[in-house]
Amino acid sequence: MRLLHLTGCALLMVVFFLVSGCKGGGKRQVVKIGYMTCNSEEETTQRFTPLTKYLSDKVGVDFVMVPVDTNDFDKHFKNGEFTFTHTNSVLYVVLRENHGVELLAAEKRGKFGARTAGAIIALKGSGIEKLSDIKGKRMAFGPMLAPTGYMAEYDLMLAAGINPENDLGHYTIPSGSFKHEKLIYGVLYGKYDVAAAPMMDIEVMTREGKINADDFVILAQSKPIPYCTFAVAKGTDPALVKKVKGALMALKPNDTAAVDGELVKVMKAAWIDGYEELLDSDYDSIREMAKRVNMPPYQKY
Amino acid sequence: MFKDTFDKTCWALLAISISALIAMLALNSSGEGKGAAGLGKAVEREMAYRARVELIGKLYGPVEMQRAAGKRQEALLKLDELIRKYPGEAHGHILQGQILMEMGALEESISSYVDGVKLNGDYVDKKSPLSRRGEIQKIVVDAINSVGAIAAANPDNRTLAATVRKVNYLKSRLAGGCE
Repeated sequence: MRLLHLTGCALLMVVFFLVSGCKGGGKRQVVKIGYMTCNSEEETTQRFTPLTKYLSDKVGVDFVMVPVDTNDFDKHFKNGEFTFTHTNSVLYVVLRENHGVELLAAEKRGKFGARTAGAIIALKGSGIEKLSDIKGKRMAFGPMLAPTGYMAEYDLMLAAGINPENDLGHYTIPSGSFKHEKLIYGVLYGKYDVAAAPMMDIEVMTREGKINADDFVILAQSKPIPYCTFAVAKGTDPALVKKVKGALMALKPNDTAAVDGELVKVMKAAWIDGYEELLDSDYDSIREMAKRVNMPPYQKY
Repeated sequence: MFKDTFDKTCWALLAISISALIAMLALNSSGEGKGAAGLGKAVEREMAYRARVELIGKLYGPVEMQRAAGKRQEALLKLDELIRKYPGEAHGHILQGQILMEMGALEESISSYVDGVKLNGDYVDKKSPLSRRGEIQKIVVDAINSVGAIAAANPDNRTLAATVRKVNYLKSRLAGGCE
């Protein structure tokens, strides 16, 4: 009887140790973040791997980075391939409208903080001095879902009574990656007469010494609108959402994450100055623009 | 001459008086020197201040001209360069705040004014030739009306709370509070 009792106790202890062992060393929850591909998948991965690692360290969850092409983003999100989203502001509005995503935080970068503007530029001395001069000229736009590389400029032209479809000589979107840089250089070297340039890119390229701002004329510029945005799928665990938001808002310039055995500064790697909490109503200006320009999610055929 | 004690006392008192007089004259002359030196320093300070005002006019003049011509973005890009070149100079931040406000970027404008005022309190001093007190007062009033109401409706929003703190900082500096 005594032997049976002892054996029972030993078995219970073994079970206890096994269970506690599983708890301590078991796998953490895995959560995926879909990152809209900016210039190229490689560049997006390089930029946001440290941020993803930082979030894993802070939140205690294994975040996995998923780079997603802009045009396929809605489809992949709908398929449930990731929970958190990092996109431009137009795509945020699309996901909000179509799937009810919730706003988390907006990325700060450049003079306008979590916002930036779109501008129509020409080369100084080219004879193009005002917006009405662009009629009949060769123009380059950024990607079609770019808030400040396409939508804002298209809207500026419509407001000035210029129909981009009929009034330009022709317009084009540069192929491949780094479209924004390509079209700014395109104006500088005479490939295009005018271009739809995000102010962020002009700011950064000027600061890096790639261009001289004095070489360009800004023919028109939009009001600053929100830019890159973190959002989360409706119905995600509120405690997890709160932790992620807190970690993003707490991010400081000296915060590091270990990537491939190397400590990397998260903000520097991601080219950001921090995060801001915007309100969904801050994106109303984008909704109005998208309606005027006939863009998703309000596009009518 | 030193016949008796009275004579001796008289001579001693005379010697003491002469010594005291010499000492007083010496002290007086050195005090005047100090006053002159103080005056010299005040003139030097005034000259340095005027030179600074003149230099600011020269450095930031092209930016002001672009701004006046409605070329605000060009002015911002130029300012970016100047702020990086002279990080301790408040004027660039104040001018940037002014342009950002005109471009509708309220929060960033307030941050810029705060950076400028922290670097140099002259911008809230109504007697200073650099004073921007009037426009800072207006920004504070406008921000309290706009951001204040939104922040009150969203008490958990950290960004709005930070902007309100910055507005309050400007308000306190306008009221005479120190850094």
